[in-house]
Amino acid sequence: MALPAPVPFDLESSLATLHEASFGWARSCCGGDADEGADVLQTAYAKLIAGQAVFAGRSSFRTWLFGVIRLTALETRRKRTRDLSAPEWTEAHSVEPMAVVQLEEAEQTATLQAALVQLPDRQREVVHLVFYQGLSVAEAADVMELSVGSARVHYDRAKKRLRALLEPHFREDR
Amino acid sequence: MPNESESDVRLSAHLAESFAALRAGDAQDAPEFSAMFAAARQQAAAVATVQLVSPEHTYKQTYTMPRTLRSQWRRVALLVGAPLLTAAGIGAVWLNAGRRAEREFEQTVMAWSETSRQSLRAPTDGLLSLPGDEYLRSTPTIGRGARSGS
Repeated sequence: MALPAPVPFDLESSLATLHEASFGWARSCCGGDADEGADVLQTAYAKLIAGQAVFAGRSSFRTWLFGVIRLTALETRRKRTRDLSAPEWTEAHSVEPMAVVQLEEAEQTATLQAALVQLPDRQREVVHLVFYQGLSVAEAADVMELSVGSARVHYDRAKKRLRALLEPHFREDR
Repeated sequence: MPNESESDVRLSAHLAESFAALRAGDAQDAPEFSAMFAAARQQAAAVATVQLVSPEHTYKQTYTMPRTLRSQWRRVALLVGAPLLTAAGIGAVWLNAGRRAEREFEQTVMAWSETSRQSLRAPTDGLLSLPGDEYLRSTPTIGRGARSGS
């Protein structure tokens, strides 16, 4: 008896469904910079289309996609750090203030961004994945390629740090 | 003063609210999916072209991927070259150390040889050389002459 034909994986529609969340994650991985986040997301899409990263179904598609975006952002950041010595880069991309300035329209968002910027990368990533993307700590650990225990430690430290940074603001909310 | 868990709950609520606002802002800023996906297709096609043509000819012809390729080449060269260079350096140091020890030993032997040679040639050695003293230093064999030695 013949096996049923495998259902073709529709990459485009899967990416379209997660596009906004993916952009938010890419932006977060780029320190809140929207333009750089968009570049990273496009490069990640190109990788998927070119078959440089292939979904094997070992985790959820979203978790896997976020892992690809994170690695792409890390590559971009490494490349940018390496190219910092090149004069044409510094002229073309003169260092701009963080995206906090762009988010002045929403004070709450700006405050959060300012607090997030002060967190180490791992802590910022885990907080974003849990509170923004709604992932569990275990799923966040999968995206970040960490053990659940390590992710839990980063999560607890991030919350402790955020409490110290945001306490004056959420006390006012009462 | 609220206890820890109460504070934790309020913090979580505040974070959820703030992140929701952030998400709403991102949704407005997010570039259109179809345009980005089309651009990504072109980028992927450029990658495929670059992979088919030799890197020397394509570095300056395409716009983003050559850098990635160049960095990959650099990485490969670094991964292969660095251990080779390190091994060559260690080998050179090791060989040089061995040769230096040999040279030092040879110099010491030479110095001792020179000293012993000089001590054998004392100025009064000539007085001890008497005619026929080879008879005193050798044992004659019966039936053979002491001078011939054969």
